[in-house]
Amino acid sequence: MTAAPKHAPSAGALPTGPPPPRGGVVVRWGGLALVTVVLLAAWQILPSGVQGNGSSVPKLDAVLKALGPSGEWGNYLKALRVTLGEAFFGLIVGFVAGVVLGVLLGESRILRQGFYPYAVALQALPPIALAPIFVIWFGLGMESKIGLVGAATLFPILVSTMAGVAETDRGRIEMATAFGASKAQIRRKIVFPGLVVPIFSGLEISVVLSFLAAIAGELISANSGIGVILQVYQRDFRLAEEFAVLTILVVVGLVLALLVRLARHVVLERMPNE
Amino acid sequence: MNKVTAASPRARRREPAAPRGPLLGDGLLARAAFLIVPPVVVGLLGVLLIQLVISRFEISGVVIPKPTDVYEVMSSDLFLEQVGQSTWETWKATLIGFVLGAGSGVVLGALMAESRVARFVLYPYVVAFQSLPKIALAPVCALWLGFGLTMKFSFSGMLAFFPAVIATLAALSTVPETRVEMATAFCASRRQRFFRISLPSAMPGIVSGLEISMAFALIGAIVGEFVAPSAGGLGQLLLTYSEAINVAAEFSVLVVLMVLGVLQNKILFGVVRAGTERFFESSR
Repeated sequence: MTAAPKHAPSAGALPTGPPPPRGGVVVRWGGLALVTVVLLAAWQILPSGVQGNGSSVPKLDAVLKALGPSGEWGNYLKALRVTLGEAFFGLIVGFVAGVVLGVLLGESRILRQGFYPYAVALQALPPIALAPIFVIWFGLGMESKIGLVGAATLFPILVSTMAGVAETDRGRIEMATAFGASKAQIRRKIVFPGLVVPIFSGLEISVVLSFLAAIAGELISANSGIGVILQVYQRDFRLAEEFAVLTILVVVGLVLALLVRLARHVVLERMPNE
Repeated sequence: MNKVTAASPRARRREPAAPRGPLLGDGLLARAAFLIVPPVVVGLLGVLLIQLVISRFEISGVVIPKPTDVYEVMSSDLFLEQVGQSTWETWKATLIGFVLGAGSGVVLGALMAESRVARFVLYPYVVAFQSLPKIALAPVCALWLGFGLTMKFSFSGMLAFFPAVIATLAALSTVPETRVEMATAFCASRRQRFFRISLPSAMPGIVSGLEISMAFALIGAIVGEFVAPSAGGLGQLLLTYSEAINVAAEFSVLVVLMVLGVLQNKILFGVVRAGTERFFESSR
């Protein structure tokens, strides 16, 4: 704390990454290491200290053991494959529907006026609440989760695509029209390239949502997947395994977020510069 | 192409601009008609179409209930009574969770924005938790906190916490530097600088984050009700109807949830946004 500059001259570091380690490097890394060690030590020591309900928090070494080579990796990976498959296929459904509807609503003002209030209302509905209905429609298998993920991921992409179309630079369209470009040409050369950035910002939200919606759907009713093994482990009081699965989810979530950023980077690099 | 804007967390709040030149003319009446007529027409036609298709092709009520059936359920006294009570149960958990979760989120976000050490130390943990699908913690929460209100508002608070942290941190770290430097030049204390300069400038961003938090708080309360069998509320009502395969009643609950969502996310926050803007206008 003491090494923090009293009048930080430039507090404009981007919040999307840790601040540059300028000044007080020892304090920063020391603080991070200290907090980590204290947390891990507390995780190891405290659960045994609270003997009354000690079984409801597994000790650190038990979780590490469940994550080690003797853990049930067969079960973890099988469930993860199901859940990621649901998230992936659902995301494709939501993505295609979102982009198509977004372009339609963005291009026609009368359609936008007519449908947008309903899109807002549907977006205000927590997508998770649709899970019981999708189970009735599609059963307990992967299909109901794919439908749920599609419904959950549709709206962020729809809204950002529509905004992208609506915010296309009028001046450029007018110029292209003046040079005799057809409607199709304007779409292909001006409107669609401008959609890449907004679609990616929608996709970033939707990827997180897809994983979340798949697990939520499985918690309600399913026959395999992460949501199911979490509940099975809990029912059997095998909390070390349950926490191991949660740890794996953290890693998978981080990897997914990184993948989207990477994809955005690659696509933007490849795009012809204007 | 402005890559920075699109990457910022506030990009998700971008909505299309209001229609500028109305099709029918420039009068106030024409403008109002342009705003109201299309949605009403679409709504009526949609309901009519669904009703006709269902009765023409004799689609079972289990798949999609007729709009008239949904209306019948929604206007029955029993449903209204059940829904009134459940809505209050759910919204109570949402509200407590939002106040606790978003409140502590704003405090932590401000701490991280103001102290570089705190930011450096806490950032990895926030990122790690942010990437965990927190829904997966619902069963654990139920195990620790039981199946009642405590579990519901704790879980809903946890979901509301992270958007508030991220938005507050982002908003406070993008306060124009010149304003902060000017305050420093005028010998403002650290506290004055924070409360008189940074906080008012960051307020719109923080309110946007709180709006997301509130939506997540509602999701948290409902998922809590899904997981905890005796928690009551709209989530439980939905599951009960689902088990009874009473799809018309399920759709009615969804309509209620939708109205609740619009009320709290759009209307309540419209008022809050206008209020904070007015309140902080003098200091901006």
